[in-house]
Amino acid sequence: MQVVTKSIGQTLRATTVSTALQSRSRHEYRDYTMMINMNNDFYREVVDKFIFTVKKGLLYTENDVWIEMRNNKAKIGVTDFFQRRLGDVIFVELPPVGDAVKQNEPFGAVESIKAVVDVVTPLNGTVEEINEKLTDNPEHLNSEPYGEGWLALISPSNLEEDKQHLMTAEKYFELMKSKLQDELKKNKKEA
Amino acid sequence: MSDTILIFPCSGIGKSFGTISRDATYSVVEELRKDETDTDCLSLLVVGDEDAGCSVKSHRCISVDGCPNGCAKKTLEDSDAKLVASFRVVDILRKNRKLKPTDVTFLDEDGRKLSKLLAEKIALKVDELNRKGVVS
Amino acid sequence: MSTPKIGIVSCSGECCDVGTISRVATRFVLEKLRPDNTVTICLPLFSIGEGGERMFAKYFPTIAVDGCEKKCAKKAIEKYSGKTACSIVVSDLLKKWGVKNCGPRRELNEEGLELASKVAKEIASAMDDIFTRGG
Repeated sequence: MQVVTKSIGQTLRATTVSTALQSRSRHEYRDYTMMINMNNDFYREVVDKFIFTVKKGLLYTENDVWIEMRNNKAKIGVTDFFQRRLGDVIFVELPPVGDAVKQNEPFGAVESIKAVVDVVTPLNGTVEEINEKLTDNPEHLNSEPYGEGWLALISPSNLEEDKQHLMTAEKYFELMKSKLQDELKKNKKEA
Repeated sequence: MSDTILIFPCSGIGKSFGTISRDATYSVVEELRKDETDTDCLSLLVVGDEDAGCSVKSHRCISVDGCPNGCAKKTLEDSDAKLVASFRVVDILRKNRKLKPTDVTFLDEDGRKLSKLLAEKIALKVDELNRKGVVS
Repeated sequence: MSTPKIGIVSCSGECCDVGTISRVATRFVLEKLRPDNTVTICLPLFSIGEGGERMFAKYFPTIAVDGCEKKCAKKAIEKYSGKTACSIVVSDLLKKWGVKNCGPRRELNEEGLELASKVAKEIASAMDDIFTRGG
């Protein structure tokens, strides 16, 4: 038996394992992550049975909001990481159509039994449309955060400048992994 | 053919909702409507138990799910059960916003309150089904 | 590369007290005995194929914790993911310990909780055994 330090992503843990299980575990985990990452539309990070996804081709903020530009309008939503941390969404509050929104200010809120979390506006503009389905079916935000769970369409007023505060999917994926690592460390300390 | 209504909770082990679904079901079948209802193991349907499969086809069934994944409902549908009603803990929660049940292994105070509210709703549905004469 | 984890699937059978004991014992392992190495697999979610439950159970060792001899959790794992690393049946353990009645199924009494704790220790011991022998 040996005490080894292993890693999930970049998380550090110490556990006592047999050499055989270490070897089997590495092999299985490699197969597992390869299987998970076969889909080309998403970046994926696996933690236990949970798979955190980042959709390719979108822009992101450090506050876990995604943006998709379509016909000069920005469709926005929250990321998979955001919804997984929050848990089952019970209510979604969105601003009325026509409201002006400012980058880095609260746009709306998402509520679960764990917490009420503000959604931070990713760019300056006007709300053109909101996803009314979320009123009666907020679970879309959990099941399809990049699809049916979208939040709103915004007409940007200062896109070129606002884009400087946004990041690519690749960069957000790295940020997300780092946030996951911090969460795991924090959970371990609390335990 | 028995008129007993079978109630199947999801009993999901990862969230407080699963524990609430389970407790509410027990409340109905052991107290509120103990002569008209019963429960059985959802997992028997998962593994294709013949007796369980026949039972859900010949009795009216109610699913009680914790969260929107709807596992109990889907399992019953896949078993061609006579599904006459479905409930979700999250829907009761949405109408009782102040309640925040967080404990999973054992119900906390808010969990008990939600379980009670859900059990009462299920009991009323049982009455409605029996009044309307919705038979197997 | 990952830290070795073991998935535990409880039957949570609703019809009898042993189902409740299997459920509570599994939660005790997750919360108290082996929190860093345990992943609980939600059987209803597993059965409908949602979440990452089936995939996890396919690639990592799993322990089935069943209430009775029908062994629904074990059968479900074998049906959808593969062979279990270990199978624990609560009714078998109770028989071994000479226990005839473990109390109400809805809410475990003191005796039921003690039994759940004992079962939890059995599960934890099985996990250690899996770690030692390499799955």
